Amino acid sequence: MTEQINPTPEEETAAETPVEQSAEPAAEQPAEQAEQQSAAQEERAAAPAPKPSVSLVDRSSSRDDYDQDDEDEDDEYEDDYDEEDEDESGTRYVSGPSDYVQRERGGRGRRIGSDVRIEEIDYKNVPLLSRFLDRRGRILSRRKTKVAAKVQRRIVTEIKRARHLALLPYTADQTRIVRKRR
Amino acid sequence: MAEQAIGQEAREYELVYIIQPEMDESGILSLNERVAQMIGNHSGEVLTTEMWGRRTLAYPIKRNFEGHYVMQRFTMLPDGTEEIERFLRLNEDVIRYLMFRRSA
Repeated sequence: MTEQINPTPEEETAAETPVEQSAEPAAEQPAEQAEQQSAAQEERAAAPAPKPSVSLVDRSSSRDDYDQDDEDEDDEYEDDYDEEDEDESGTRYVSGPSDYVQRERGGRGRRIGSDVRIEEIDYKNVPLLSRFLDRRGRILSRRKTKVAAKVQRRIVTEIKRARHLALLPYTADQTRIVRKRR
Repeated sequence: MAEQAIGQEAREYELVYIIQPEMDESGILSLNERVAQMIGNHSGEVLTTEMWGRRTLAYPIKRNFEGHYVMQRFTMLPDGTEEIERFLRLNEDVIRYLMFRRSA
């Protein structure tokens, strides 16, 4: 009945869809999936996975699935945080999902402080210590830094020393005041 | 008893102080000299003195936005810390200081 009323568009779609479903998925998709899986495994340590592949990989393997989801969350929350920071230059303090804010991308376990040696944690080493601060100048919790307890303790005391000596700010807006004056 | 035993042993310390930005070089050096003297009085010895120069502070201290940083490492008997701390605390050119033990 419908074919007779409106013949041309229905015929086109009806003709095309079966061909796509039968030919393309059978030939190309398995190869793509395999590539993307291996690529995702390689990149888990360093960079975020390429977006288009995620949905395919999710369905194909359950273990990768977990990691990919994890990264997606990170991206979303970081975007949120950027917006929040812009608002902050006004007067409004937006309480966002700060728990997830500065998490580094990559696989479980290896995060911000994975390459830190305990001897180089020093109040004078400002570039290193500032990696353990969020944008407001707060010390990141161990849940976010994922370093050993011993290392975290050292980092905390050295950051506090650096703050006392005005090498690091106690809060981020203190630094803004100084910059304004110069 | 334990305190006496500890009191006899020289320890290694690290000291950083920030001098107000208007101070000239000779003033800084004479201040360093006085600190070194006090260290010497307590049978200590200055190991290194580093002048980090005039740095921008991360936040204003006593309305100063910059300061001259000086870092010294030295060995000294523990009872000398009191005198050095009092000197740095009362000296109005020193806007901030930090002294702590380096040796275990």
